[in-house]
Amino acid sequence: MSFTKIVHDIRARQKIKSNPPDRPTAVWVGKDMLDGRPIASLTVIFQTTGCRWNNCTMCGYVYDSAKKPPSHDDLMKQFEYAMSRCKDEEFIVKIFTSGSFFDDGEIDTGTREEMLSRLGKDTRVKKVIAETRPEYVTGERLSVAVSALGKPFEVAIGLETSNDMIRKDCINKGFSFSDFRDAGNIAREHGVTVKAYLLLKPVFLSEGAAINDMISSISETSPHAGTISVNLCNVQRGTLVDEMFERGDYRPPWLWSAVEVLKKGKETAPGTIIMSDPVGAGSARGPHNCGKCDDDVASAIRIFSLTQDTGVFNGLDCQCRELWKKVVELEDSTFGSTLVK
Amino acid sequence: MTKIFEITHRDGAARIGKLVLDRELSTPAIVQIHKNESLILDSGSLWGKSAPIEPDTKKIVILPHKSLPLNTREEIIKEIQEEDQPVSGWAHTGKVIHPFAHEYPASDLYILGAAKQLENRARELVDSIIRLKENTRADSLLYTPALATPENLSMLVYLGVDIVDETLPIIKGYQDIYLTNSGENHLDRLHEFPCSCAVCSENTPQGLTKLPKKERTEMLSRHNSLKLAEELRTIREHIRSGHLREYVERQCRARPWLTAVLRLTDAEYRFLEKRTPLFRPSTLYANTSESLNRVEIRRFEQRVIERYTAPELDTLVLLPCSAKKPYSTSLSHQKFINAIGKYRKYVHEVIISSPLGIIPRELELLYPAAHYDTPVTGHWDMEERAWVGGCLRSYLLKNRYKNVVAHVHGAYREICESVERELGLDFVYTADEGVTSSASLKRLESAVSGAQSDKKRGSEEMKLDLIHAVLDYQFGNGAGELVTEGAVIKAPFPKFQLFKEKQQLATLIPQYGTVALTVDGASRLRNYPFYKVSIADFMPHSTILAPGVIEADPQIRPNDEVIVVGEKFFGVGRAQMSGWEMKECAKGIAVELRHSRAMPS
Repeated sequence: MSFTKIVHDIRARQKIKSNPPDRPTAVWVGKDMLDGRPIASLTVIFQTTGCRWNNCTMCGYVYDSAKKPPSHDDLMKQFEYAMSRCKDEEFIVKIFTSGSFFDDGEIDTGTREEMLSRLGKDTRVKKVIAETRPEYVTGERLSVAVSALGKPFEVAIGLETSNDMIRKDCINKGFSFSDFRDAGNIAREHGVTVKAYLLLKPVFLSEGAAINDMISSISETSPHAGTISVNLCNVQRGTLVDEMFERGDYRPPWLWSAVEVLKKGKETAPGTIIMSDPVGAGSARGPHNCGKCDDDVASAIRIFSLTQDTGVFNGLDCQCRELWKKVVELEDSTFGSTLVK
Repeated sequence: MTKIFEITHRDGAARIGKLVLDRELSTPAIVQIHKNESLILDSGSLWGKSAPIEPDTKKIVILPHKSLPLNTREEIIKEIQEEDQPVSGWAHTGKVIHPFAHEYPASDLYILGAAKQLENRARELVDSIIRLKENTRADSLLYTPALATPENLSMLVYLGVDIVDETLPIIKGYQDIYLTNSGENHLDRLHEFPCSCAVCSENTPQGLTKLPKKERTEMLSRHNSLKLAEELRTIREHIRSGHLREYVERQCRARPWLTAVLRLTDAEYRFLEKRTPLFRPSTLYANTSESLNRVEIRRFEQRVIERYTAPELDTLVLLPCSAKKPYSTSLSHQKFINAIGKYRKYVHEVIISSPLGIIPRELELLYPAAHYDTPVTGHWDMEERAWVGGCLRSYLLKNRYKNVVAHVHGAYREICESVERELGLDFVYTADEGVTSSASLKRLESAVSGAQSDKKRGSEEMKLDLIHAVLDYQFGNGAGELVTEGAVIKAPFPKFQLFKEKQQLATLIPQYGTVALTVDGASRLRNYPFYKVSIADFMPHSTILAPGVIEADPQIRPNDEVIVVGEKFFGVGRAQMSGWEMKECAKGIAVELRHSRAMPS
């Protein structure tokens, strides 16, 4: 399959920096929602061998992974380091690995069980969310996890879109909507909630097609996920998206498109928590508008994510909104090109 | 494919056509495919969820597509676009073709995907359009979405684009950009509107800047769209009058990349030549350095070398061109002819010109020899010298003379001298004091007086040589001999008529310098293989339509004299399209018949 070959070809040309094996790739504290109220969140990105699939057009997280598989002790040191960073009295923990938390090749069964049981014992931790591809979500792994943790647990899956053709042609994700649904069903059987990550504007889609894809994805995903997080595609180094961006073939989504998606999405799925973290907003490589209104729109998106109140979008306006509307209307008729930068 | 498109005017690759569906659309046209009333509808991206389009035989439906950006890697284009979608039920279809694709499934309309990104990329634009046009039927339509602006529209049409849209003019309006056919300006930078369209005549740039964004951008978009429409009308008139090339040569100066497009297209001689008429009703203006590369000029010289044979005479007289055409009617040439006087029967006159090259006297009436105008400054640039010198060199290598008298001055002389040296010949120069001074004319007279030899021709023979040469020029070497054998010329120059006894064979048409055959004249070419159009077994009246053509000589060009042969029919007429097009087109007049005759089968 040449698509995969191309992604690998691009990957092979990147320089990879190395981190000490006993430090996580990144840790930060942010804000999130739990049962309708704001709460602190501790996000940890463990340094593992990285994603086994490693073929997606937009993903540059692979460069964060370790060259040598970290040992159990390394991973536990990463864990301890991360846990020491949060000073809040109550928080939720979001675990990422630049891959799948439930892939035994990245995190060994024993290590995973030890992490989860220590999180279970830590009374500050109110909920744990862990990201994984759906193929690693099995009944066996979930029952071990649930009994080790003993508190609210959620699996987060990068579904990207409910449209199988887009996921295959534009993202090269390597699984189908039904794989996601099956994983969700297994999770529910074990009392584990599901969070779905969607991707606004993968390569090849026009601005309008990208918005429509997200609105129908929210509607089709909401029966299978309690929380939907809409990622606004940003241009990560060493990806096909990056190559296309550099050649003038790709423009990240407008922030107005994100607003449109969140408004319409919330209308379609009022019972689902819909959120979005506009990473890199306002920069050429991130989701952006005209440069004047980006900060305001991005912060409205962050507020919406915490409050679920689409009213925050009402006051927003800018001269570039008219241009954005025209782009949405006309970009399909370029038959492949982006209309404006 | 289906008979929905008829090309009514051609000028090079540009054409005016009629697209007949639920109403008639005259092309080149500006369409808005996202509007319901559009004749062309888009089924939409396979990655989107578009409402299905009702089957409609009165629309062209663009088949569902996966459109990719311009620079997408070739492997991805193949992988994503090659799975062909099964489609049924559409009478007329449009296909999105990526500029770098190499496969062209049959279709009524081709949409050059991501064409917008071809702006500023001259090589890719020229290559992708030429490749598409050379691999698809002549009567399919070409649409370049989101690329047209008033400044580049003439070049797109010149390359053979039939359909454009106003996507860019609209979007530019929303970006506060004001378009004209000579470029774009940001509204802030304008002091006054150069245009007098409905928007511009009622507003000032300052006034517009103060309007709310929505109103302002709508007005700018409207101006931009009006400008595109205006440009389109201008272009269509230029196609009708045969002046599109001249227009493109000046319009492309708006931007370097457009000039590059013209130069790169000229390098694709075959593509342009097979679409360029034998003659045009209008004057050819050779105003720019690119004019030198025009098909009309290159083809003329190619035919002089390949199809023309000089009369058997020992002395060649090289003469400079004149502003007045045909040359022999100019004051200077009258003086040359007078000076040559009674020795004219011993000499062969050939004219040197820029940009045309070498013109034997017999061909001086032919387009474009008698139909061009060019700025004369006395200064010749290196390219002109190289071109004209090359023409003279090829001519002298093919046609040998004992003596060469060069009655030329200035740059003409320098060119002659360099060719003379190169070929090791010995020219006699007779115009040291300027070509029309009496001293020079005397020297010319005395030079040719030494040219007396056994090889000579009478004035009747000279006239016959003219028809002979023009016939060879039109039909190929050998045709002149077949038609003129045993015939004589009647009527004075330039309205020569060719007769064999009481039977008229041909007429010289002074306007274009071409020969029109009668049926009797054409009969003499019955067994000659070229410039023939074979038709099915029917008796045509005044025209031959393209679908009736079975075979046509691929070297036939619009306005060529052609011989039409059917089982019980024999006729002669003027081609309205190229021979290769006659075989491809489902509609349109292939030949206007002039004379015909039923033949016993």
